[in-house]
Amino acid sequence: MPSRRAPDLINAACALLALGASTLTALLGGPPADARRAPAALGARLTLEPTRLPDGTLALVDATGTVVPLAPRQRIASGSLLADPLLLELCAPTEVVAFSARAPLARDAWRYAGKPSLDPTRRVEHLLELRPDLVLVNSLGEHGWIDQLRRAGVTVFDLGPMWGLDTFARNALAVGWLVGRPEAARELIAHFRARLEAVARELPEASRRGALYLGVHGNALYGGTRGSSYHDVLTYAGLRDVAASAYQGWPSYDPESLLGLDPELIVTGAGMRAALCQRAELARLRACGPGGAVIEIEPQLLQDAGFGMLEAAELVHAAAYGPKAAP
Amino acid sequence: MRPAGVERGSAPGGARRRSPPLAAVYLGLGALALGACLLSLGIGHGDLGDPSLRAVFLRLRAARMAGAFLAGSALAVAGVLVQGLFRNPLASPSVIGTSAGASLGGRIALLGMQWWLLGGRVPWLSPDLLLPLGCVLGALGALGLLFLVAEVRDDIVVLLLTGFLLSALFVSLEGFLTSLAQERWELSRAVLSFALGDVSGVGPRQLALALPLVGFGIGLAWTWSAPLDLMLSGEEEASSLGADVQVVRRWVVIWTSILTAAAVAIGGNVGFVGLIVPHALRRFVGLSHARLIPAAALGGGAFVVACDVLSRVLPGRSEVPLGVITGIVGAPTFLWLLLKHRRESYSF
Repeated sequence: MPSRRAPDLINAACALLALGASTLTALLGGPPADARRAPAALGARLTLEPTRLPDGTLALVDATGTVVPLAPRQRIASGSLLADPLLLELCAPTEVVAFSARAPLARDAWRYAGKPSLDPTRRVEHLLELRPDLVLVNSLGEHGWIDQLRRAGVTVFDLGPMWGLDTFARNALAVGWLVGRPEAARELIAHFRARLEAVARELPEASRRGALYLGVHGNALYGGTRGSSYHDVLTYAGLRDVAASAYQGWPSYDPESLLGLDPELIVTGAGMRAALCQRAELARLRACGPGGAVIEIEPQLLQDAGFGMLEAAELVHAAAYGPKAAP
Repeated sequence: MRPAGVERGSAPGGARRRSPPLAAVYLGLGALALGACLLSLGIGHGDLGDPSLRAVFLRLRAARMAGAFLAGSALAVAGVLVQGLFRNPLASPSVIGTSAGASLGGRIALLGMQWWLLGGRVPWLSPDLLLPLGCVLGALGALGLLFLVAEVRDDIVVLLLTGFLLSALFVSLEGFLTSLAQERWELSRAVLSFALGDVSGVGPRQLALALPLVGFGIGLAWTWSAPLDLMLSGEEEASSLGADVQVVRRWVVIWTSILTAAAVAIGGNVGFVGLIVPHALRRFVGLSHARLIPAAALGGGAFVVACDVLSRVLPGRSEVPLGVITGIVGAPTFLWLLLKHRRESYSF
């Protein structure tokens, strides 16, 4: 009967209208006016070298494909723990108006003193009050606040994911271009790489010991391997990351998989040796026995995915192979 | 025709008690909503005294306030619908599984964003829309599954159990995706923020996406008020009084799903709103859905906006997540309501 079908038809039409209107109004909104999307020809990823736009200006493409013109910047704010140390190295103090919320927690927190530290994801208004002309962020997923900043007229450069030394080097070069000192950035990273490579240069490949990074939190065992700064620290310290062939990023291990990897050395945060080796099921790990070692490093240093990697690699190398003889 | 107890002043269980006039209730709710919205515009981290930034701050706060209001309204009205459909004032919109579906869709979108950032991007889609679109698609997928299973046996209990099972399944899948996200520090942070509920990043595009869903959802939900009133007496009696129970059930579930999808798309997992707001308001406006739905839209919006203001003023390095606040405020409030009216029956 048509009358009985009327509610179905009306509701179905309204539901389709609601979904269609919702999708259309959202999509037709388009990107913020000041966030020009990268033309396909420029490639979608963060570019390491600037590209000349049709109007002749030079620009970098950030990790989300947004084109950011290169211009003199006087009020730079960092919302990225990787950009913090880079700004210290590449900018005059007067050019930086804020560091990230992680700056006061850094091992060298004193270097960031005197500048506000902000979490831009939750403190957009505070950030705007500082009137930054460039905000550097590493975001992946939380894009609402970046959109808010761009709508407020602030230039935001998304440095993209943080996956260890390679992305740190890319970030350094991007920051160098953005602050107008690309050569200094190139030199900084080249020097940093050279010092990292020097840590275990004399060590033959065959004599490198097997190791993995492990964080013990309650019953959970967290790793850090290929694609993380932990892997880079191990590798440059002259160790072979035994987790790298089977895992990537920040995996979580169960005791069985850890016993399967059974590295000779485990690198972990200070105070975690007891939490690891006193667990009955893990006490038989080689690293907990007489032939192995659990190397404890200050957590702040171990978690530093920037310049701290060098000191961490040196400490791990010294703990694994003994201190280097003085030249 | 209304079943017994639908009139105003009827407390759950049929006990009569004095209620304020309906107009006073609506005016009170309107005043509460207005007050919460004004607070939301006036309170923030920035200083409105700075004339060069005042307009920017107000725009940001207005978008945030609108997002909180829409999410609260949608969840509260969805709560009214499911409580009416299942004749249980303790039901929340999550029982039919679509909010878990929306949440799962959101997590898939967050993980998909990694692919998007690595170059697989869709040129016409802005990154900040991936998450809300994922939520809407997730809720619609869950709705499809719910109907697919529930169609086999046309029974309200089967619908409820299917919703419960789908919810459990989706929560498990969410857990799996969360474990995948742990492999990336930034991604795990985004997943956690979504799981804890947050409207601080709401912008015009998210509002544009949610507004038609919430607007149509509340409007069309209201048109089902009379059949829902009849359903309070039981499905058989409602059927004998002329209600097409199957059609009512179908559309009430669909509009509940659309409303919860919109709410999750804006604010992530914001709990307790769909449970306590209808429950609290029923004591003032009675069981009539025609009165309860507009009241819930106002009250739910005001509640979430107020909770969002609270999240900004509580001390801390960062804001307290919205979902945490609604839980901290909602659970004791609900307990208080239960204890205050312990002598009354908690069925319609």
